[in-house]
Amino acid sequence: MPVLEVEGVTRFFGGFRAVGDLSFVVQDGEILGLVGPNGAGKTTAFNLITGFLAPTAGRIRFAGGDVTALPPHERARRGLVRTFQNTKVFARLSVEENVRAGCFLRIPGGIRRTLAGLSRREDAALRAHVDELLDFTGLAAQRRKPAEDLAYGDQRTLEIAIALGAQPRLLLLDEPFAGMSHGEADRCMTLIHRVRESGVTVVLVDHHMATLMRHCHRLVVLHHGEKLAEGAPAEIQRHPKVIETYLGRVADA
Amino acid sequence: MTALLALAAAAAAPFVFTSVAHQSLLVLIAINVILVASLDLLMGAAGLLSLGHAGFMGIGAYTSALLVFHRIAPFVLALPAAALAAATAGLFIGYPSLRLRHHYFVLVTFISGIILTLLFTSLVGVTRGPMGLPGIPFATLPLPGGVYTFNTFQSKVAYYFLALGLAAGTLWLRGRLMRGRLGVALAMIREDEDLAMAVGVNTHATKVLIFVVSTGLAGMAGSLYAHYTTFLSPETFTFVDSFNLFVMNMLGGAGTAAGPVVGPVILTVVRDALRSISPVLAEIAFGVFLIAVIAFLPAGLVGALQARRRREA
Amino acid sequence: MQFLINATFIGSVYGLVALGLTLIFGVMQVADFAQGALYMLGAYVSFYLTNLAGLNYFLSLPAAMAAIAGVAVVNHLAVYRPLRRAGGATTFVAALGILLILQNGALWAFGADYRLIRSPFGDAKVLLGDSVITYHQLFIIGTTALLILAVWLFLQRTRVGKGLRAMSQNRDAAALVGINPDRVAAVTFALAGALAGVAGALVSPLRAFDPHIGALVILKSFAIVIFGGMGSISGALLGAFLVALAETMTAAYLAAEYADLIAFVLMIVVLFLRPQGLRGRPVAL
Repeated sequence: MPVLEVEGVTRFFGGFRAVGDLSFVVQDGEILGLVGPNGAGKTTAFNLITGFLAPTAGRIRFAGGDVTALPPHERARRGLVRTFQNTKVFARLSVEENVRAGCFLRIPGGIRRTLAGLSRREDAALRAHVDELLDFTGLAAQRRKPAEDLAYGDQRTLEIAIALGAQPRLLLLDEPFAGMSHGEADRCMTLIHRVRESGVTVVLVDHHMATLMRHCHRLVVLHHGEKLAEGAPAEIQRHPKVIETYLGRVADA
Repeated sequence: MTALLALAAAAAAPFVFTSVAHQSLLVLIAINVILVASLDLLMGAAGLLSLGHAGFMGIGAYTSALLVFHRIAPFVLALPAAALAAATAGLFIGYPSLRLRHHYFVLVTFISGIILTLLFTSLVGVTRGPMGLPGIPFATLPLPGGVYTFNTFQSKVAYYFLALGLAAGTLWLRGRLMRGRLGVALAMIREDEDLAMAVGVNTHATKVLIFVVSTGLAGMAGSLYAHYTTFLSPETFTFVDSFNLFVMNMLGGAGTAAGPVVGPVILTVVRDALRSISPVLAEIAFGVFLIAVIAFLPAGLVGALQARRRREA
Repeated sequence: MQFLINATFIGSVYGLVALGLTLIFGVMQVADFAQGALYMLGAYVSFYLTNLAGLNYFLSLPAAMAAIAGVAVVNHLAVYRPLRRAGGATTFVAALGILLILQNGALWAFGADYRLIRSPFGDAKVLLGDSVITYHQLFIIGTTALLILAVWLFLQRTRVGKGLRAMSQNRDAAALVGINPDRVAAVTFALAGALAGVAGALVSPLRAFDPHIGALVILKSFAIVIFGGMGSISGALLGAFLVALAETMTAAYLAAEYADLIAFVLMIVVLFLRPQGLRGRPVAL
């Protein structure tokens, strides 16, 4: 069953067509890569899928339901969660508070709790969730540090921890490897695999063609806002249009 | 614990400072605490700068004054009505403007304050405009033995306790709102709104909610003020007054527990002392003070103290 | 027709202040509220020079410009430059602080009495159809036009002026090509101060003034700048005229009390419909 269905999505900015008639599907449990050079429309597509931009035309279906008109927080409530290209964490809060913030949707609400506070059991349950996520992402040792004091790689890990707090069904990662060394990128990828193994479908957007080729089950290649090719990495490597775009005309022999 | 000590000290204050001038100051401090605490819900908790807060106080003040003056409602109903009126205005102004980027919101609050002041001045038929609204009846409380009137000309002490009670209630409410789910949402909005949205926070609804609560509390403070001074004039609710509240909040420390108490206490006293020397010099000193606070103490007194304690720990 | 005349000369005064505001905002990203106090001080400088020093009114105008330009530069050096790194909201509040300090300083130094300068034109007026325009009003319009032209030439033809334009477009790039941001900032403030000061001096013979006149004028000019587009010169001038026109018509058809409100209503409308203002560039969301 597809988790995400993008159908004929188009977005114009004035006269400029950033994304044109984009259609693809994300299957439950896979890691899908969205690739393309700068200006190919990846960020726009990302913002359209996650609700930070409205499409000029087309539909987006998530877990069987039409989410095209829903704002980002509604999509998050249904399990569609994203990270951002420029590292976004709650800078002045501690690592622990950041993850707790990510678990916002799990915090029970209502007037009684606003005035009297969470019950001891609810509080303990919340604390357990936060601890679980800190252990899962390996940030437990730094839980009290202000997020802005973390090393860059750890901040990006924290971003994923925050996103996981929202209990996503589909996690969209925007350029998760940007600015990372090979070692850091590999460690990040290991975490992403573990995330997937825990039952979350993942979509990655990035430039690192090589990394995506190695780790994604399928790829969608964008060019000038349109889908150039879709399929397993091996197919994409051999795809004539992809080769033409990235390497120029196919050389003889 | 410190809160209880502070409350005890506040309750004892009118018996220590027995002169009329001092007790008058105490009442004003209590009212200012309500105003600054409500402003801090915006500035400290949500990171929303509002420069028109005095306007909402004015709405509450005039609403309550007119309801009781024209015998439409007794004080016990007029006070919540005042809060409701201010909150409704907050809803009308906040709902559209909180969709905009932050600095546009700041502008809208500032200009709303200006417009409200101008409305108080120009709706002469209702508010008597610049001539002022005198003869506002005292606050009354229906008690088992009969109706008790807070005659603030005779004694300020009883009214002080009324104001103190409401101030304590406001501080308690603020504390509760800043903990728990709403507090987490507000902190997220303050730090990074996009990220908050991405993990499921309805940022617009949350901001509107806190704005409505904040303006409602300001309206309540306005009602308290009206029945204390028994005279209202649009001059009390200008952008300078909004500005003063902002300074009190900043000086105390936005977002800190004690800030909304420390700020008003210090500044109300200082202002009064300076004014008795020379009113104009007082305002000048205030302006200089403000700039110094912004430049050197952006976290406020309480914030700076907390930071120093953290560094020594 | 009378509306247009009134709108033009009132709009001229607003336009001068709005122009200064928008220049400062474009170059420094500072909402300089202190301009209101500078406007008020311009009137006082002119008053003292003409009434006490016996100076010719026309000469008091450039004198006011120079004096107020100086005050503006002091503001920049003492407050805005040190606060450069703080956020826009902080500088806005600091500007309000300066306005209050200067306003109250004037109250303390000059007293709260209303002052009035007699216009050198007396009450001479001209009839255009069934509309009236006084010589002084004509003088205001004419002087404003000249000043606007001078500013335009300054921005287009002089090195410093071009530096100013460069800085308003891209501060870092301007610094990279050797434009001294500090010098440009000082010049911008001086220029805006001169404009506000002369506006005050021009208006002073029209009606009695006291230290509080700056507040309402700066608030309206601010609304005008937002209405016209922050950082846009044509927006500031166009906005000034339109607001002045709206005010005149509101006073005539509705009630004089509401005339003051109209500038702010227009500002709110524009903020919701087109936040970048009439002539501003669209802001990224």
